[in-house]
Amino acid sequence: MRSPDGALDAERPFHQSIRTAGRNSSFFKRVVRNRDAYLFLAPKLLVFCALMLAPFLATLAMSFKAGGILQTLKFVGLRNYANILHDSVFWVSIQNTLVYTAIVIAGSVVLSLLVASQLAGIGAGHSLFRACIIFPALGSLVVVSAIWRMMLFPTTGIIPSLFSVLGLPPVNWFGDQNLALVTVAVVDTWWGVGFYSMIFLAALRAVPNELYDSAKIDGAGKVRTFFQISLPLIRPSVVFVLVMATIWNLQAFDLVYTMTHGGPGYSTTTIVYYIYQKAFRIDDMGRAATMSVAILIIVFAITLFQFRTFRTELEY
Amino acid sequence: MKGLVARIGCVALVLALLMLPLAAFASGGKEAEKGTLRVWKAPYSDNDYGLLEAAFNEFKKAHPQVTIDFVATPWETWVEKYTAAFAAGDPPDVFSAAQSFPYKFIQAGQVVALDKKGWAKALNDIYPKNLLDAFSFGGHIYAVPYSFDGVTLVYNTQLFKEAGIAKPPGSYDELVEDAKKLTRDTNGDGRPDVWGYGLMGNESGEAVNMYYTHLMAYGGTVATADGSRCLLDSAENVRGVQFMVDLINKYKVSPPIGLFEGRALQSAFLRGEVAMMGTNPWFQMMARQEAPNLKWDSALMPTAASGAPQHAALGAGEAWLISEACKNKDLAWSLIQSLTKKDYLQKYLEAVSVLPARKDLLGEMFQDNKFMKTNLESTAFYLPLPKWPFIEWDLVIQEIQQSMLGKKSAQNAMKTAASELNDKLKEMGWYK
Repeated sequence: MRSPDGALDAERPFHQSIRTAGRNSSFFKRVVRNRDAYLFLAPKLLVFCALMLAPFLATLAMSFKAGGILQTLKFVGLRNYANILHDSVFWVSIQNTLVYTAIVIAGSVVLSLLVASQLAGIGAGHSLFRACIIFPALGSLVVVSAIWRMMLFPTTGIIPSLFSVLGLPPVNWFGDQNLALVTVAVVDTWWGVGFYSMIFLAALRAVPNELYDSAKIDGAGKVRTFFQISLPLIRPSVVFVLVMATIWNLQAFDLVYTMTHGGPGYSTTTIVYYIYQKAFRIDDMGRAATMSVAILIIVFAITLFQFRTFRTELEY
Repeated sequence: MKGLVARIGCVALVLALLMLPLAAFASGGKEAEKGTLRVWKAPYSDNDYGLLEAAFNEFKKAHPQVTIDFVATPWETWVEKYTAAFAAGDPPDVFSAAQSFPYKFIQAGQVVALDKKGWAKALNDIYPKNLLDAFSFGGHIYAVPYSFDGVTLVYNTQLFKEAGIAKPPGSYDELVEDAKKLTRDTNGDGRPDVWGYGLMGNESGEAVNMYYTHLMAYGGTVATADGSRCLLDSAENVRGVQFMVDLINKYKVSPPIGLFEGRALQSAFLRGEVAMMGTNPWFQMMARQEAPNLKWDSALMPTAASGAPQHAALGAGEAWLISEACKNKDLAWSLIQSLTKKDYLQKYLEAVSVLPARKDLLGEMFQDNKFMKTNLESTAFYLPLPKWPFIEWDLVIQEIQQSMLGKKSAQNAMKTAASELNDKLKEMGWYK
């Protein structure tokens, strides 16, 4: 099909074809013209509408209402939004979530890059090491949290015992308000490193060997090769990991629920844990929905920022 | 010919696929005709079904066509699991609930009022009024209570002897003095290895029992009798919180929060790391299993002031309820009657070490058991808990812990908790 500028649709990238058509014809004509594309997209769109869009719209509608999960909700306008702005725990939970996300992302990315770069250089036993690294990520977070709780348990855990043997002072990992969030974040980092390492490893293996050979001939050391060749070339994978880790960790819940119940005090209360408390414990569905909308906006804004900041075209 | 066979094959396949859900539907319908009762219960032991099996067998004998589908639902996720089930219109037919839990479902009209069915007449003769009242709402009885519990002080007699303490504390002043003598750092690492008095850490469920216990020693209550206003910011409650804060931060005789979470406190007591603590009766089952040789004794919790009438106490009952969604309520009622029969109940409660709700069992069970008798005695000091259709204690625990961490004064913490809960009551139209 030929567009007004004379080019055939088949000659253009698909997204350009739709964009061009959009500018020059009515919606109906556009749909008819690109019916094959829309047909291919239809199943995905249906699933998206049923599982993502509809619940989101329901949540949005609920954010303007008040009441419990088993009651008829009544319309309250913007009251829930005004309430969360004055809710000090909401702001504490946002702060905790951002700190938690920052710790987990920084730890995960740095450690995963380190692990992947080491694994990429291993010849014999590579599969064994890879299996060992990915192993933690195979366990559920609930199991992981139970194991770590046992290991960190103040009087009988292996880590406090180790501290005692080394003559270090006892640490109250889950009771110290300055340490509890970090402890949970470290466990999450440990859990995630295996998965992220595999992504980086795959990206590192895709980098052409010729580039490393040239660097070697030019006398570049390992560190310089990593920062000037490997890292720039696996940048899309790093961006992917950054974005996904941000989205996942801004919604941190499992470990907090199983390890600390948001305590001591509110020191590990993340926004999703607070939403859970409001929805299931206090039975305030309107406020919980409002905070869900808020976290969605925050996740969307941060993700958009990340995409715009790290957007890059990769050229070898 | 080949094409025709292929076409017939395709049509047959499509028909078979269409029949699958119909077959499943038919089988579900048949199941319902036969009668399946879904029974959910948070367990007191690893084998609650086994301990109740005789009651289930008696029911099955009388109703051979009925299948019992028993699910042990964890305590930690009780509220979430049941709320999701009721909200989805798929609740259990019969379920067991502790006192604070079922009001949400009762007030939403999703639990059968036993008196409306004519089933509640005999209950007054069998169960104490206060337990029936605890599960009543709007003048209707919704549950058959089967157990209840109080809070008892337990103490390590060996550690008491070593510290030269002759008897358990009768007041909070004595408790502090005794706890100071009992708290010891034996390895010199700067942290006591034996704590004088145990307070639970940052776990939601059981911690509130112990926290409220101390508020009630000063005469504090969570709410007004009709539940229309939260009173957590009263002077009595603030004093109760301040007492716990002082145990940790001022006297340093209780472990900081986070050190012993939930039942880890009881385990620490059984290892000799905590010299005394308040506990519910099921502690006895734990003690039998984990430390059968430990020498310990029990007493009523102390009073806030010497000679004061109110001992620290908190208790709650547990009961069987029937959901409105149950298709065969008569069968469900018949099952509850079996489960609460004297003999079966006695066997179950003795095994899990909880007080019986039946009046006739109260006079018979645990007669030579000092711990259980003390626990029963403590229930005379119960102060009623509000019948709110939401769980308030997460918020209360976190605010109390803010105070224990030194982030807020006891007064501010309780003011915040009361203000939040009163806002909730206002929104519900309950606040007076």
